[in-house]
Amino acid sequence: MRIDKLFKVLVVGGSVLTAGCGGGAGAPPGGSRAMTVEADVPDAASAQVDAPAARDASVRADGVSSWMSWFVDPVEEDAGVAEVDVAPADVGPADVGADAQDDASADAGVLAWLSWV
Amino acid sequence: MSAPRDLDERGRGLVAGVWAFRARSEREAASRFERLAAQLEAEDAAAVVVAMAKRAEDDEVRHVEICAELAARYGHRGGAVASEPAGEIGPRSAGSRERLLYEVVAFCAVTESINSALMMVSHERATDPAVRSAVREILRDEVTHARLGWAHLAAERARGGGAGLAAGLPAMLSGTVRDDLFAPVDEALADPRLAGHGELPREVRVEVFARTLESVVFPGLEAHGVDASAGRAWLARARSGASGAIETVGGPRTSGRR
Repeated sequence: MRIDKLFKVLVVGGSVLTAGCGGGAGAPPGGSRAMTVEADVPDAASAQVDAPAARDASVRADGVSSWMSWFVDPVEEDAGVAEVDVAPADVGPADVGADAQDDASADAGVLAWLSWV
Repeated sequence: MSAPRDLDERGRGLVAGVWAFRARSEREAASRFERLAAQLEAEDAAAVVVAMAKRAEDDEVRHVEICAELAARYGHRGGAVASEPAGEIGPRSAGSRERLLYEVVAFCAVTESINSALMMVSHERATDPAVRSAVREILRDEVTHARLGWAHLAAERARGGGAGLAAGLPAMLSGTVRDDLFAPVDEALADPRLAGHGELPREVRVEVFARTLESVVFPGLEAHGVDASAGRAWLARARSGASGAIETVGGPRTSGRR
């Protein structure tokens, strides 16, 4: 299994899409750390996410097309099968919202319907 | 498409049931993405996230057709896939934006990451050409759906959101699996040939689930400043076979059967 490689494909590949959104002076200490895309497969446990610089490398260079080659025999791969629309970052008003999670368990099981495990 | 000949009637029935289940779950996923796209737009989420959610609905509708066709090929006679309601999830006491973040993380960053891993391994083991093609197409889209979740989490954390995610993680994880996932495997029911048709053995699914949490979901949450220790503890309890490990954190279950 090459599940470890999914960290870069999913977490880094997704996070860079909104890199720079909502940060600035109001960003909290507990917010996203800088994420750095290392060459090839990152050490998932220590990987950090850095952003604008990683956007091109992760999304355009390997995030859009070459991620499939990590799963699928390249011979089978169609050109341009994976397309991710990378729109300009949109920054809206900050909204911290509530932090209570006291009744989250009431939803347990709902997503089991959607998970294929 | 002709019915596969390397499976007996029981095997074809099991595979038909699996793909029929997936068709129904994809229908609900389409409904959920439709609602989430509207909510994300209303909450002024990042434009790329809104766009991905809108496209994801179309992806899931296409997946319904793919899965339903395979189910029929293996002999499923269930007919058209009914639309499933996709109610909101998340802590009731949270504000709308935090509740939306919880659902996007649970549904996309967690569930779709797990499904991506499952499809990756399924593709590696699938031998039937039609199944390989289907799994490959679904995998391609599930990756994008998982990225949607991580993209939204990144944006919301940068805004200061997600303070309650760490505490809600056990309940979130409990909601992503069925009660029987960690139960002992009944060898009499195991048929390794099913993997060639898209149904992995349960012990493999458990391993995929655990490894995805350990190497993707938990590190991903931690990279965004969300403490995953409660999730790691939940997984350890579940894997150790502790009786009620899932139920004790999840409350009443509503999961369907595969």
